[in-house]
Amino acid sequence: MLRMNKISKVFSTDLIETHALREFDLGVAEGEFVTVTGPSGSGKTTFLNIAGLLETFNSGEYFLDGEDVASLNDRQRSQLRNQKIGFIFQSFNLIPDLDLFDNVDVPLRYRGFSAAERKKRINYALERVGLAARAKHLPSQLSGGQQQRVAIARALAGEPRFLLADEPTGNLDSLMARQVMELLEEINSEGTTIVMVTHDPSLARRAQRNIQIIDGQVSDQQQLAQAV
Amino acid sequence: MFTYYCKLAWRHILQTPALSLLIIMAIALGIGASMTMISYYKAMAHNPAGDRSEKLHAVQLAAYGNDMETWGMSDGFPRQLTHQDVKNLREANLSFPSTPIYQFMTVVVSQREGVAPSNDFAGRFVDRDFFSMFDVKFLHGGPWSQSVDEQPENQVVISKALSEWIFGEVNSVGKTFAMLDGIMQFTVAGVYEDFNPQPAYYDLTTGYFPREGAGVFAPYSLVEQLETFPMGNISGWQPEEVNGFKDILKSEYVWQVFWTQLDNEAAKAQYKEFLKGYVEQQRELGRFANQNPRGDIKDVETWLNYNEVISEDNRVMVGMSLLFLLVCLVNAVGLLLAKFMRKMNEAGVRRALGASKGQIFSQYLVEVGMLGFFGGLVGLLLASIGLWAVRELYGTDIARLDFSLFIGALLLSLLASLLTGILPALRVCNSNPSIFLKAQ
Ligand SMILES: Nc1ncnc2c1ncn2[C@@H]1O[C@H](COP(=O)(O)OP(=O)(O)OP(=O)(O)O)[C@@H](O)[C@H]1O
Ligand SMILES: [Mg+2]
Repeated sequence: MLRMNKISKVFSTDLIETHALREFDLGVAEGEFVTVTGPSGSGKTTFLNIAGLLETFNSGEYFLDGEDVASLNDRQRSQLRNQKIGFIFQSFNLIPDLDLFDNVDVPLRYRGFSAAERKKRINYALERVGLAARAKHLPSQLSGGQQQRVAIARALAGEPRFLLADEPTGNLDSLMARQVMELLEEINSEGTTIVMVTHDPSLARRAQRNIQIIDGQVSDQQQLAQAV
Repeated sequence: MFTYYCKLAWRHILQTPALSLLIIMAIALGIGASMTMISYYKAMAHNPAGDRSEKLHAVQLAAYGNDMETWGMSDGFPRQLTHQDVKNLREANLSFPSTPIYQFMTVVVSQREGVAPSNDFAGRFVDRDFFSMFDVKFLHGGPWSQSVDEQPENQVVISKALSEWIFGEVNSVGKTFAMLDGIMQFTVAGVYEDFNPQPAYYDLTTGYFPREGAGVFAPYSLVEQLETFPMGNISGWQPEEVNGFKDILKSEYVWQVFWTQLDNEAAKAQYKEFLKGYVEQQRELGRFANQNPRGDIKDVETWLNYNEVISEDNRVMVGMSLLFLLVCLVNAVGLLLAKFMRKMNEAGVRRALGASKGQIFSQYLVEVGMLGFFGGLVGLLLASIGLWAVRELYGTDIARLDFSLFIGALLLSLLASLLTGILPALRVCNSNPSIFLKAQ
């Protein structure tokens, strides 16, 4: 599903050059659930952004679903992101002035689905996360856990094969965090590949594989016992 | 996608009403000011002669003496002619249609109950050819007969408005009314629909954009016997003793205009040749004793420019108003940047969810276009108020918003706003989405 070879990412600001990723190697297979842990500033978010085609890299190779993404232009990258990738963020990143229905609608609009198709998918995705009844509510009217479930519904509506989550439970209490985790596991069990960054060791252990990033490199990989 | 962008734009406009209103007003003020000046300019730049513009020619003569080097306009011609010269030109009897013109004061007596005599209706002495040369549209009757140009008769051609004012009806052909001193009787030969070309190119000596058109046209052949003082400009190059109308007729004062219709180059050449001979002949009589005696003809377009119907000031005003528009747009750019900066996070989310830079750019450009459209509408409103003020200020009836200006204003504001929006929209779509996704 995902193959990174010797990816390097340098952020150059006026004063310093930050090597966020150095010769980063990683492969993620179709259907895997991989958790990513590591100290703050080690490059986890950078890795996720590159994986999600939100950020470019300085050197190395990246194949997404067998396709070399380096040669793609912005439009093609966006299209790929739209069709294959779902994003979930720590801070939910719902659009505050759109109701839940319209929030989930956003990726579908760029996909070019018909109105009927979009409606069907939105309702299904909201039902899936148990919030269909609140489709007309604004994000601010929901609890944090509910907001994150909407964000998951939004990421799922386009049926991506690859879900990228950056500390999706970071802003949630442990009960809500578990609920979100269970939802993600359910999604994974249906075949969606998931890469999730987390600081919570107990959550990290629940995945099939946990990788640790330190100083821009994969320092440790742990195949965790888990039935598929 | 376009309707989606419109929906988002509309929502965003409603969300930031104060900023949106400021942007709309900035565009509206710029459009309002520039459209006012452009409409006014366009109205002034209008040549009402149409396809007769190249045929009708104003005749000029350097009719001054005293060995002067120059007098009158910058090209050494006065704008008007002496009565002696007009009389001679008329009597030369060339085969070209031609007419002298001068405006006179008149008192017209109404035949309706309880209506007092009025001097509101301007009168002009012309020859019969005037009506065909300047395309006067008759409703009833027509010009006086050819013979009246030589054998004066008290016949007149009047406007529909005057006919209604005097007689209470439009068709007054054959009827008689009192005019001039309020006693002398004149018979109506024809009634025309309103005649008020803007600018009044046929006689620029009494204002370029008169609110009221001509009311009465009387045969020029009556000039000498009626002894009616002119209303327009009179000027001279030497002091002359004038004790009455007869003295003005004999003087070197210039105060009339003379038009002739020359349909082709041959006619023009022939007329110029005639003027040359005429000047020679007058010199032998002791007139035209200046350093460069000559005659000239100018077609309508040239005549309008020559008389500076559009002055340098008007051009400067248009330029200033466009500069003002520019200032307004620069302001709008700043306001738009402020408005769009708040949307950076949303743009980042949209990018993460699969929107391309182009799609984000389009979304915000649609919003700017919508603001521009509203700005254009408000601008049109301001422009119509501005034009109303111009009409009041200059006492003219020109410069109204017409359909082409309406469309023009909307296009201009759309274009201006899109230009304005390019920078802010680029800022939004080119920002790195990952930066805005982190922060909350
Ligand atoms: N846009 C940027 N410009 C400059 N430096 C950056 C930028 N984004 C990240 N960095 C730097 O790159 C390094 C890796 O950052 P990254 O956000 O990937 O860390 P992280 O592992 O996600 O940390 P955390 O656990 O705190 O979220 C850090 O040193 C950070 O300061
Ligand atoms: Mg991070």
